[in-house]
Amino acid sequence: CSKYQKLLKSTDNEEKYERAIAYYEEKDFYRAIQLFDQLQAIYRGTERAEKIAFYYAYAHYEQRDYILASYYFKQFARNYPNSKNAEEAAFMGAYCSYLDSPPSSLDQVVTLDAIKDLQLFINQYPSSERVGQANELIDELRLKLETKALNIATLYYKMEDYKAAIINFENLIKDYPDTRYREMAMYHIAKAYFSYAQKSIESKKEERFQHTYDAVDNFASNFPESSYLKELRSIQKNALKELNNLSDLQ
Amino acid sequence: QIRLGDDLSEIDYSNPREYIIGGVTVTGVQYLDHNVLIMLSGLQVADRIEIPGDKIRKAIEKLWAQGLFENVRISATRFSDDLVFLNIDLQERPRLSKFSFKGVKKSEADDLRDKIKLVKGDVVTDNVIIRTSNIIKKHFTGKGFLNTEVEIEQVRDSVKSNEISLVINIDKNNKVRIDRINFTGNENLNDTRLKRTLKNTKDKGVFRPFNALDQLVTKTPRKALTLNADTLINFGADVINENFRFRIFKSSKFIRDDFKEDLNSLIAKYNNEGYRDAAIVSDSVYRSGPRTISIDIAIDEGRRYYFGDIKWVGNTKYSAEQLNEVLKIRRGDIYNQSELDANLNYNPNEIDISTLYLDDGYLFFSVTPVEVRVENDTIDMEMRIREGKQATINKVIVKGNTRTNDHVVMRELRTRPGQMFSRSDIIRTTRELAQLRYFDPEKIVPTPIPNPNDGTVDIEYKVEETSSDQIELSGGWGYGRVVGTLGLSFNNFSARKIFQGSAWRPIPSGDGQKLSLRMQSYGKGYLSYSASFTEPWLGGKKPNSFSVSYYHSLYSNGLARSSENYQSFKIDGFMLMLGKRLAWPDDYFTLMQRISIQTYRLNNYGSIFAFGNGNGKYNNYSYGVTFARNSIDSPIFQRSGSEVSLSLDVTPPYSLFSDKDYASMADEDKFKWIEYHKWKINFSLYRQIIGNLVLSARTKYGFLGSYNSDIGITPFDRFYLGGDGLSGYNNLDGREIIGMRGYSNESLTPDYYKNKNVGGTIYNKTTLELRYPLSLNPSATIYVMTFLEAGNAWKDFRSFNPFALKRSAGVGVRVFLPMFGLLGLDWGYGFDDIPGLPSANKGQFHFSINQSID
Repeated sequence: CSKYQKLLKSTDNEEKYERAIAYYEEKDFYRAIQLFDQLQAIYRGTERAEKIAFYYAYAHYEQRDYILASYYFKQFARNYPNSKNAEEAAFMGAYCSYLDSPPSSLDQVVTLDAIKDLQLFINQYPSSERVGQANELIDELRLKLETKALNIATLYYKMEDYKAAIINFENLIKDYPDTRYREMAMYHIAKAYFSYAQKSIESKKEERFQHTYDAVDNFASNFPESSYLKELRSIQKNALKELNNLSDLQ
Repeated sequence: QIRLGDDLSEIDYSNPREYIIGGVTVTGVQYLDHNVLIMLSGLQVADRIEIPGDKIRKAIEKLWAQGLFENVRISATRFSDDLVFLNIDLQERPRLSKFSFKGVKKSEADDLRDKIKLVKGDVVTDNVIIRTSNIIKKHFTGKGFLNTEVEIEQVRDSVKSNEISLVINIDKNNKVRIDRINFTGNENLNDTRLKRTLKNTKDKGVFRPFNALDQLVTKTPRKALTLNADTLINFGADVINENFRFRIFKSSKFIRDDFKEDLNSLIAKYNNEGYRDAAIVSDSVYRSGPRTISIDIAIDEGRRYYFGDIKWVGNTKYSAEQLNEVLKIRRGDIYNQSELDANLNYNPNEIDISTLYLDDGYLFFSVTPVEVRVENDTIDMEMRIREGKQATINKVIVKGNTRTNDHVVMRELRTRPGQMFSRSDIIRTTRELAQLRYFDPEKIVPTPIPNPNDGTVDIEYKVEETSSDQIELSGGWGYGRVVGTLGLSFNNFSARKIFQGSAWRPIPSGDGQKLSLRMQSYGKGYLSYSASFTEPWLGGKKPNSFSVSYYHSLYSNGLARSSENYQSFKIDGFMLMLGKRLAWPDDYFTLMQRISIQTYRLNNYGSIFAFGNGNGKYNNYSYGVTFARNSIDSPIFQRSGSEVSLSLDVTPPYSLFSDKDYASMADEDKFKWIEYHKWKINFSLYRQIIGNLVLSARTKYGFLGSYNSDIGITPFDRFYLGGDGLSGYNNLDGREIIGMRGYSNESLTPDYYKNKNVGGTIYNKTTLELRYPLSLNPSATIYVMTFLEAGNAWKDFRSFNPFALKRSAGVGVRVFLPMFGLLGLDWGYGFDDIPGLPSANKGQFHFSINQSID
């Protein structure tokens, strides 16, 4: 330990450089980072700077500090566009953002950034063999955003705020037209309209039961094979009964 | 820039031509590697390049971004056919090896280090030197050192020739204070009032009592002869101001930018008094002594204006009468611009015109006051209203919740998709989010994002996570044994993530649940532990809070359990609580119900109660209900709102179903099944008086009754009044300790000098408090206060006399630190003697935690 401390304070840059690379290769990333920190300033504008920058980014990646790793990878790709490692760095920069993306129930700023980074990588290196993986990651992140929207809409549904739930499910379909939650969303819209109509004042009932009726038809034309259809048809039947009652009253 | 060789005819700036790079050379560098520089520039041999063109510009930018050079220049040295040969000429600058400060204290140097942002390895250019010097000067002028001198010495490193170190010599010189601020031309507002508007430019404190006396004696008669009361009052105020000034909270210093701002507020002050034309004719700042300056401000007040007719244009939703009612400005009122603005746009205390519309969906509403006619001193106004369409909420978005799950935040929001836009709902939601204590209350930013094309609005709440978890750890050696406490309390816990390894960072959080654990031990003789868990939204459907808690304490004489002399006292408690938010009478109401089971087991443990023989088992099974209303605006420093709560706890009336003769029974049988009914009322109110000065009025009542006069009022669960309100070692009989300042702990309890374990069955306490915040920073909220209190406790209803109160007054300070909670220190003076306890009143210090005195 004391030897390492001495090394940190020493002015022998050559030795520092060699030890830093050695630490890196021995997977002692913590120590490597501390040495690279110092060496970056010293070797700026020299041949060694590239290697240091690349290792530095990877060391952060290995330490699971994805925010910093992403930043240093992107910086590398920007500073050394002609380097043979540039493509890898560009990908890793985006990949680290992907790794840093939190669960769907938390703020998704990082997820949006990660999608942007991955897309940027695909645009920049369209023939890279990593494009396939990048596309998969994008799909996974998009699904996360859809899940978030679905969960929030479901929360309103659960809290029995049907109006809010309908708007949120409709926004989910509008914002993500090819979402795999489409069936789920449309199913909930129909059910929410029915409950909403039931809880409404008389003057609003007709309009809302009509919406229920239409929503079930809409669902049926989109998902004729769905397992939810049976349940929805019976809701539709009830809605129709209510509509008939209402028109009888008039 | 691209510089060409001899043959300028090759370049036509209006007509770029493409070349192939034939070679790149580098000149002007001593320490850096040529190949790396070429690579950094992005100019590669055999690449195609347009001249003039973008690639050269980018190359210069990239090299420049390295921050290593003072000058970058790329020139073409030679053209041959399609080939171009480029040269990069760079001017290197020395790099910073280290820097140090001279002439300032270490703490000041640390502050500067943060500000000047010099980094080892940066190039040192003239610009860097000048910038650094300016930052330092600005730093010290901001603290009143107007004559700060900075000189930066550059020292070449003897070993490494391209490195340089900086020695920053600073001479702060003396602090410059403001001796006098002189006003001329102010006839309607006196000097004192004007000085008060200069928030950041204050003259220095003076204390000249004899001078004041002199002025009063010599000049008052003459002023009195004018027979004008106003003049006399103004004169008196000025004399006092001139001779007695104390600068305690704000030091006297001159900062030009602040002074400019202060002059604006001076004019604003005049405008608010109806002097619309008021202007600063001149202001001069001059040296009046070696360490002082003085300021002369000449004012032209102009005439005073009044409101004339007010006409409304464009209003279809509300009539002119309704709008005038809200505006509260009549013809003949003094023209006050800021009052007009407040009543039109936003008045935090009362309803205003904008709120009227903005709470009803009119998001695009605007009102423009236009002066249509000015005749003499009367101004006729026209209020031009644009109502726009009503907007409904489309999306509600939460941003910045990096730890707290969506559902925990979203369920608390009062703005829901589909509702009409309402500004008041947004303000209330912001306040309620702050009360959750998951987010930094000062950094909750709601933003409405209108979508004009479909008449909807998205509402975004930006939050910043903060932690309100608390930890308590204490340990020591006392009474010949180990004494220790460990307490943990988590405010945003997640029980469902307990078994997810990755969620332990450091503890599973984000579901808004509360968990607290506490353990305390004094070695062999005492051990207690407790745990409680709260889920604020049981089932996730409605805000019904559920909590469960358990505690256990054991007191003993430390001997082995099998020993004949073993003495012990055990308490076990278990409680279930269910809270509900009500929608009626309004949605600030809550209803809480609880079931609690407590058992006291005594084994040969005498003299801790005022009854019994030290043996037996006592059971307290009770049901309680609390009905409360809380509209307080902030959990830590309250500025407005009120809190009322009414609570009742009852045990089953066992004795009514039994035909035993309770009157002749031994205590341990009589109280075996504890029975009582207990009533409590709390009321508190907060009002902002001026600025951040807040008045708090609180009152509390408690009453404990029995079902059966043969048993009498239970000796458990009684009230003990006085002191810091912290439950100490003696809290064995479920007693309720109510703090009251100015008296020693529990001393206001009836007959306390005879027996400390009898307690009161009725009490009341009333408090008036003035609070002033010193810091509203959520990581350390500090406020000071002064208080008056009156209260007492009585043995039974017969001796109850609501006017026989013990009074006290004093001062205190509260510090809220998120990790420790609210800590308090008070000094109170008890005015009334307590019979039998001579040292219980007069001056008393009290230390309190988490509002134990409240």
